[in-house]
Amino acid sequence: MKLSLMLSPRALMVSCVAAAWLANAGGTAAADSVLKNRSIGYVLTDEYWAVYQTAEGKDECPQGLIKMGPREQFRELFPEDGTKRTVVETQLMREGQIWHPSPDYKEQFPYPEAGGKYSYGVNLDGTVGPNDFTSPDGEKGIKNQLYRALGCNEHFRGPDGVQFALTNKMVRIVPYNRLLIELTNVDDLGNDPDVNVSIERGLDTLLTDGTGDLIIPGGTQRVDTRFGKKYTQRLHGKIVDGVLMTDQTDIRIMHTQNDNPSEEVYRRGTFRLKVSAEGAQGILAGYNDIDSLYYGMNRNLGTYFQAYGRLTSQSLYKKMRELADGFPDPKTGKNTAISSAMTMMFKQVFIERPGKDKNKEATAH
Amino acid sequence: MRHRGEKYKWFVGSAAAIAVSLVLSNCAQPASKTAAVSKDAAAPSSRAALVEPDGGAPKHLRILTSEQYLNTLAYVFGDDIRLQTDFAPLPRADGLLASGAALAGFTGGQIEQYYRTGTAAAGLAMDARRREFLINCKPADARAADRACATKFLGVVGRILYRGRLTDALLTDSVNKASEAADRLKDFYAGLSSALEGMLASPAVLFVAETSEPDPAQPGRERLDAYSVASRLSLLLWNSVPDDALLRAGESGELMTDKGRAAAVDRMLASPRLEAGVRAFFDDMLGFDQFATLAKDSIIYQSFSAVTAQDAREQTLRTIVDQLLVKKRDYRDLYTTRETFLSPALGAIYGVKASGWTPYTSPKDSPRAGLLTQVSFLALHSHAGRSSPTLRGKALRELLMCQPVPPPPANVDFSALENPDPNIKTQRARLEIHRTNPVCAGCHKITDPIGLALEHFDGAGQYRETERGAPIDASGSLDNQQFADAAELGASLRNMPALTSCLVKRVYGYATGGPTAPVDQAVLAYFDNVFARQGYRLPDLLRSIALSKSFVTVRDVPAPSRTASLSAP
Amino acid sequence: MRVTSGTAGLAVAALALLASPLATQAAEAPKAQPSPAMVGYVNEPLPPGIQVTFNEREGAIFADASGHTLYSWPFRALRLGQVGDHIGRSACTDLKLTETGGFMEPYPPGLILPNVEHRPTCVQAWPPVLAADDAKPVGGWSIITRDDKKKQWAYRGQAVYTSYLDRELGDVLGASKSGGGRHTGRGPVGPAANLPPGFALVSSVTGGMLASEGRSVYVWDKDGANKSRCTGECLEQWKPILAPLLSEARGEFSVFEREPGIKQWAFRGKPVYTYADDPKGGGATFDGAEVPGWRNSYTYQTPSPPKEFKFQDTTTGVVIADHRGKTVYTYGCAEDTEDQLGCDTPDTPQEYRLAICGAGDPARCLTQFPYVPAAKGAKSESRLWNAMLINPMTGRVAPEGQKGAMYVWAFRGRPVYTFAGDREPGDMFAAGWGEIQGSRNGFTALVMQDYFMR
Repeated sequence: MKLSLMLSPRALMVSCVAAAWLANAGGTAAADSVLKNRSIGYVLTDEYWAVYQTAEGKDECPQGLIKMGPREQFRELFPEDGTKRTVVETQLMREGQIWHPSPDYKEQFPYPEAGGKYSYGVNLDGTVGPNDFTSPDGEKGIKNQLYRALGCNEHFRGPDGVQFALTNKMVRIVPYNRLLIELTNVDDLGNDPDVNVSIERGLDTLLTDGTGDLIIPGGTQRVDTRFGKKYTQRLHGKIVDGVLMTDQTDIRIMHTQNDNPSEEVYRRGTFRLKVSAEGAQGILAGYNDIDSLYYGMNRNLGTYFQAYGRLTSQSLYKKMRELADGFPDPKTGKNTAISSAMTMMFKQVFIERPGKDKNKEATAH
Repeated sequence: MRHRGEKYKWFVGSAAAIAVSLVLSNCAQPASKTAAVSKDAAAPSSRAALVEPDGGAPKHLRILTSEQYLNTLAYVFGDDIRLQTDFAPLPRADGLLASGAALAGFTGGQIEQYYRTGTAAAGLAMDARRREFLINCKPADARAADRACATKFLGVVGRILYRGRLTDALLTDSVNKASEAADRLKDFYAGLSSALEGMLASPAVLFVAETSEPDPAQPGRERLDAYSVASRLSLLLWNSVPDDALLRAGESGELMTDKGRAAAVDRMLASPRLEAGVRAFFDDMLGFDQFATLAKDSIIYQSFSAVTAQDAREQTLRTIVDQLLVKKRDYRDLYTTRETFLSPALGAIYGVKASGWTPYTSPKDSPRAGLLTQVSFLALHSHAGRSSPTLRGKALRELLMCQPVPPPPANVDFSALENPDPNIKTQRARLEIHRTNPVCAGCHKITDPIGLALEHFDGAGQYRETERGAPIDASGSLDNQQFADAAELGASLRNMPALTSCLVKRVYGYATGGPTAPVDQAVLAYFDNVFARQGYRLPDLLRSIALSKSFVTVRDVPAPSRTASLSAP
Repeated sequence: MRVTSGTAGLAVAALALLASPLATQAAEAPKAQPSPAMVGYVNEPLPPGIQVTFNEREGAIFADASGHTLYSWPFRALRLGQVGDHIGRSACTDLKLTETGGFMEPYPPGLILPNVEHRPTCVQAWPPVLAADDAKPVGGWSIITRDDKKKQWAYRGQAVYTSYLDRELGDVLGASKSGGGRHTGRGPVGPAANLPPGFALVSSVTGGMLASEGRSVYVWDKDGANKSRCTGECLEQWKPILAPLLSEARGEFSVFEREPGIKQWAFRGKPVYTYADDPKGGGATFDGAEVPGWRNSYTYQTPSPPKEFKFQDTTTGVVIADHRGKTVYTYGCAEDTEDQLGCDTPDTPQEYRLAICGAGDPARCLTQFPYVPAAKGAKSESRLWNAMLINPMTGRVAPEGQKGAMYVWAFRGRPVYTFAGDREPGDMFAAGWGEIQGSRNGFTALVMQDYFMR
């Protein structure tokens, strides 16, 4: 399966630079050296929702982008017409709606859904249905209902979307987000039918180049065996034509953007990552538990922040519940999870576990 | 191939010409002097004295280096007054900045940096919080002068700052200054701060002026007086001014006795402060001041950042301290040892995991062995975007073997070297022009063959098998010693007499506070011998030099001679 | 949906607190008792009537003659505007505010505040510490002239106030950076700790910890009085904190020679060290204390929370949790007004909290954010914690015997909660639940140590 991605302009530049670097430098023995004991580690450097975009959204958002954010909705609901209003009936009422979304909430404002032919993602259930997308490579049955909810919102569209940029920045600078994956039992990064993948949290800062902007391979990450225990997970997968594919299972990813710990839960989640000696990139796809996602977002980004990109939480929640396509609640029958895909990029690191001989690596140059 | 003795027209009239001819004539000679040596140390030459010859060193006037000045402030006031200041660089003389400190002239602007630092330190020391813990008395009234308290405090501080030479007149003058200021500002502590500022700006504090007295053991000759001996010892061993105990040993006369000097030196060698002294020495000798201006092309060498540079410097100094002070190993083994330390940034260069500084031993089959394969040497002596066998060979000659290499002539044609021909893939191929062009070969044959052995390491110190797809040939030679790679280069260097005699020369110059001169040849040969007999252990060498007659004896500076040349190898 | 506010005359009730034991005892001004923290502060001259007292969490603090803790309100920027006192001025007036100021985005100003008829003025909630007409500045204390022409004391230029919430000498219920009223931007004022150069005092849940150059300071059980046994291998992990030549023993700090010419600091006779594995500049940590025989060095220790609580590992560090390991949250709130009055104590409008915890529905609040029940008559060794009798439907303090009232635990006079969405010990899914990540009107975990946030 080929995997194509929309790379941010910066990511694109980085790959060109890396390619140029590799061409100029003496051929390195890096590929051999990092796999000498059949394992390779990676650390997360970039993370943002995989949003398929065309210029000015012409294909996917023909009605234009979402215009009614919290500020705009407030003005519509409570016009400045001289009426004296109270905090309770306005601001606190709206905040109450955010924190306790009601199934009776009536959406009064237009909410353009992203709805072109294409989207990034994975065919999570093997079927091809009317709500599915086609991947840019031509694969059908791509499940990404979350894309419909986010795709026409400024926040999530690159390169300038505030949320798009901020998530990425927080991935790099906040230690809480230091996601590590380690592939073990690897014979060949090109093709291997049986590899093990572990997810853990790292403790160290990311290694950068001289400019401080580019994360480079070769750093070391100690594993957080105490506080990160909850997010330590073991997966199984295979590598086909250089792409790692993990077996579908529930995957939890720790996440914070403004110092409040939260998580995303990818039900029947799977990694699809192009792997190399220097790094990995691709997507994590799965049915995202809506409440985890929603409350995590709100606890980390207040209404003021969401207003910058015209993101109204009440409307978003309503839309996500409408589009939800997985894991029905046994009591209500309503779906609780929504198919999604998150772009993730990693750089190679050496992973160090406490107690083991710190420098047992055979290769050294 | 030119024959030795023939003059090279383009070096007319310069001392360099003579040096070059000496050096080149050496290279062109058959290998009698530099015959293959056994693994053991060269046997003491029968001509070298086993008894310390008459020696001595001139009295020097030198400025405290910025490190020494800051170390003094930290010793007196505490580490949290370690201010970040950029001092003007000193010139290098006879391979050392420390020797340059004895020769340099200073502009007002350069001195001003010391003044500003002193002013800042004085202000900080007297601030409301610090003064509680730093001042050994309390004024009767904090809003007025208090001579008794000022005298008590400034007496203690001044004694250290003036390195023992705080006369009554100086102290009184300082106390007067403090009192005037205190009365005027209605603040005792502001007055003290003012007096402190004055002390810290005094030439007697900033400049170490060595003074002497008649030597009772050698009538007709002079020896350094006790305070000068104390200063020399503490600058050598601790890179700082004498501490209270050392000053007392000087004041009591103990320091001028053999037994007393030995006791003082042994105390200083046993102290954890020795590490600061040894680090300062090697930082100087290895030219690490160049790190301040080291920049690498961040596209070509993505793994090399400012942190890498800083860590590379620290790696080498840490290795030296560990090998020579902690493990008390043979100095020569620095060039073959596989033991070192890695930081996360260096781990990325080595391709090895390292979280925080960790000890690291490279495996037996690894090409990394010895200081020459550490990033500090490899990266410092390279270009921004490529390696340089010439720079590396030159560095090895000059820094480690004390063999100066002449600069290229003004009219050298670099175009042949910078040939963009894509068929020329490796540095070795590119440097063929150095070898084949007789204009270049004369000098380059003494540098390039050494540096080519290090070509498996690029300009950032990373290992590579190939360059632009072509395999790298890392064979080379050093004065007729052939080797196949960097590890063998280190092993060859280890056994070169010049390696250890160069260290001796540098330590002696560093210890005596100024450049060595040809007249020091006999003394240096003697210490070469001593070093060999000690098994090339640095602490023992330091001890021998610090306890020697030469260390305290004053030698007059001879009148300049027309046949004077730069220091011989 | 409108929530009926509490009883009328609430402001009156609040003001009645001013007629508390402290105020009536002005004649016999309670004096501060000496405590371990108090010997360690810089002894500056004080104006008449100002004293130094001790709070088990804040350390040494100033109080007025009748024992009320002094607070300041430093100027700070909110999202759309600035509030608080500039140096030399007081912005706390007797103006009765009735509308929001629009300092928070994205909501506009001009919205009518809840319970506005009974809302106190700033000077009622935070009475300024007035200076006599003939008062003279002394040391770090100056006198400013208020807009109402009265004279007020200022410390280091910041006007000082008391809080109507404080009742006993040493109370810091008004506001503190460490939680409880933090959102109002006020904090207690106290003398600086008397520490040698290079040392700092770090306030933590467990007390006032010593730090040196950004690292925790530790002491070793095996050391003697002013004598260090840490040599050789010990020195690879533990760095002695060295003292310079000019170092004098003062207060509880002493200096001794660990080897000829090398001096080391000691605190209360115990040599002090930093831990090599603690990150430099990473702030005070407790990692070294996990090595047997080694302890953090405190100038004072805060008594433990009641035994119904414990310390719990989470994904970001250590928090205070209930006995089941469920994270304990405090609720904090300041109104979006120029005077930034608090809205997080039982006597203030509950509408804010009810909106966040249950969209205005008290029953939903009780399900989502249940109180932490306390036994009747439960006592706490630590003054930070107390059991209060609460009407769970109104959130107000309940009179004894009221039907449905329950005893709940409170931290700094504000009830604490757990969260129904926290299912496993260590979950913290209500951290930041509220407006502007909980920092203006919302829930925050009681964090002991956070290792993973910025």
